[in-house]
Amino acid sequence: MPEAVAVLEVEDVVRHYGPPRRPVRAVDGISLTIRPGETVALVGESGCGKSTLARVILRLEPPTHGRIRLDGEDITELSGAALRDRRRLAQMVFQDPYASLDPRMTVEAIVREPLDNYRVGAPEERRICVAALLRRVGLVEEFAERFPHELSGGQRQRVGIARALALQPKIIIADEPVSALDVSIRAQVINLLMDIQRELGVAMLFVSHDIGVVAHLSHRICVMYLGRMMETGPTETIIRRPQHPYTRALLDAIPVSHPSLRRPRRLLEGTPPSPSNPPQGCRFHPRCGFAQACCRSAMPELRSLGGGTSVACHLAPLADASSTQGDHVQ
Amino acid sequence: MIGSPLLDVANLSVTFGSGPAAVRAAVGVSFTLEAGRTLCLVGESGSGKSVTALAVMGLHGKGAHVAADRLALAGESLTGVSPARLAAIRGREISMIFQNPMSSLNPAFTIGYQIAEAIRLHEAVDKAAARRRALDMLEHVRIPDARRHLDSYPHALSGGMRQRAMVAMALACRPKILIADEPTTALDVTVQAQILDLIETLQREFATAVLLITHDLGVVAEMADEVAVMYAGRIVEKGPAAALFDAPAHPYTEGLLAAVPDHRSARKERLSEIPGNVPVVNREIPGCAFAPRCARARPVCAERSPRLEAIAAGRASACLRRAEIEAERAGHVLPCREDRHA
Repeated sequence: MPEAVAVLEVEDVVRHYGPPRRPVRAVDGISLTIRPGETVALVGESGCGKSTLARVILRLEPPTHGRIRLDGEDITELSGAALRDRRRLAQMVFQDPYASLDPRMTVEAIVREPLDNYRVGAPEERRICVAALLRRVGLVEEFAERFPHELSGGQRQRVGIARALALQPKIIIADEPVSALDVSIRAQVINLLMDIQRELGVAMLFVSHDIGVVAHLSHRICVMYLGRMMETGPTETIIRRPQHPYTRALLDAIPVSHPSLRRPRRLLEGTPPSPSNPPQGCRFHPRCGFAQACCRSAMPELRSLGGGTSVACHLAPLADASSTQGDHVQ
Repeated sequence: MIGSPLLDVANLSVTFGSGPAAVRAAVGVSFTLEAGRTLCLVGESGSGKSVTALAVMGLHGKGAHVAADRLALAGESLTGVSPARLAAIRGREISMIFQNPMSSLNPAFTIGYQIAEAIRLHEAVDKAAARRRALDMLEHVRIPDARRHLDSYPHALSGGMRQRAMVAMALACRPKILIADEPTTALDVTVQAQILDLIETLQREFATAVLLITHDLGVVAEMADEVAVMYAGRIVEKGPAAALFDAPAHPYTEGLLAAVPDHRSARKERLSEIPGNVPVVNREIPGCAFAPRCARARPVCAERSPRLEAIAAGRASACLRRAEIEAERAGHVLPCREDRHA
């Protein structure tokens, strides 16, 4: 698998807003690679830049700096018909399926729209294709004639997934796709996404604030904070041996799964500072319990610790690699 | 137990509209809450958990019809009391916080003014004293630089800070009961942990009872002493938190617990699903409302409505098959408990 052409390569991507002299540094030098069939999770608190990065990857916004390669081709400078043609390889699934589905269109028309837009097949073939897509996401044929308001939240999200699959993309970018769903429905949609990925071999970038959910379905996790990559590595390594103090804090904040597992909370105090005026040195240092003088003066670069893990922390690997609760090591 | 419980709710029903089109949002809901304890009302959308809380507060709108055999605070009935008395109880004896702090905070007034007003509404103190108390509360909820934020408007605060300000206002009169409706749902996990910790700390300090409404079983595992699980307007299971997590008695509770991904198991297995959709309670469902989604359902479940009945000390389940499920459970330890000893 590592030999295959990457589906997505993001190289030192920067996205700044506002005046160049004092910009809002929403995304500030992010690199990541996604291979065919791989699910990569992008996690971080609100405002960390993860959704902006997703939009830049899809070229819904131009990057201020950096390169984006989709299926081997550089799309950073593409525009017009050339961009449109490449864009079909990357499709998006949104958090709020109600806001992202046109209320005046039937389910059939919503799922068919991308096929119409790209003139895929004859009209009759499109109809058959839509029926197959709806079946694939677990919606019976009767749903084709319904409107979004007649569907439950879970059903709407299935429609959103069917629409994203219509053009047989190489990668699906899902921004908080299960955050708005009820618990019993969330499991259905997570399973559907996992099934689709296994069967179709489509790559996935899963953007979420919930490291607990993404741990379940991702192969790799990227942790973002204030526009920077803090740590990246195989999911199991990140969960069991988190190296960055911020990754640990995110894991520590996940609620326990049973009342008998309660323990004194180790709180990450405060909230992220504004990306228009990020702290000097390591961006996490004002909230970090381990911070030392060097953390306040120099910005740590992302460096490899082996085993596919990279971390942007002066102090890594931390001597005490396990959390004091022993939760992360088994 | 000595005397009456702090909050005593028996056979509470909330109905919207009338006749055949009536929506029975809550049906036959009963629970009690003791001082200093936390009861979690758990459910998905449409389960009736928020409607139940609003009815307890007397905050249900004009369109809702509330009936109850008993709805009492420390022995005093809340049904049929004058609006003036209810207003006096609300805020002073029971107060409420919401998912969105802006639904409680007025954007046109400073944080300090709003907390001071809440105090002066219920207590005969002068403005200066109320302002000192407001400052004290902001410090209690650990808002940094509290003195400055006394004169801040809500929009100047972050989401987590607004939530803290709302907690400060809700607890300013030291109510006996705090009702918290999804207080952390819109927050990042890191801020959620801060707010849960804050509620717990203040609860210990003031001996407040907490009625916590949530859809999140992780929040329940963190906070609850007692749990009541609601489905389609009814309580389907209740009991002490640890016992309920150890061995859920109702198939719905069992399904909910199994559907939560566990980040510690790095296995990429399919999650256990509850098939079908969360029901909309716009019509009377014959039999058990969960039966259409229930793996354990028998034909009888579609015909007879199960009643909430005791199964063990402090535990109750509304399932026609509860005896069989219990017998099955008695035989073996559930495999999902292994992580507790890791």
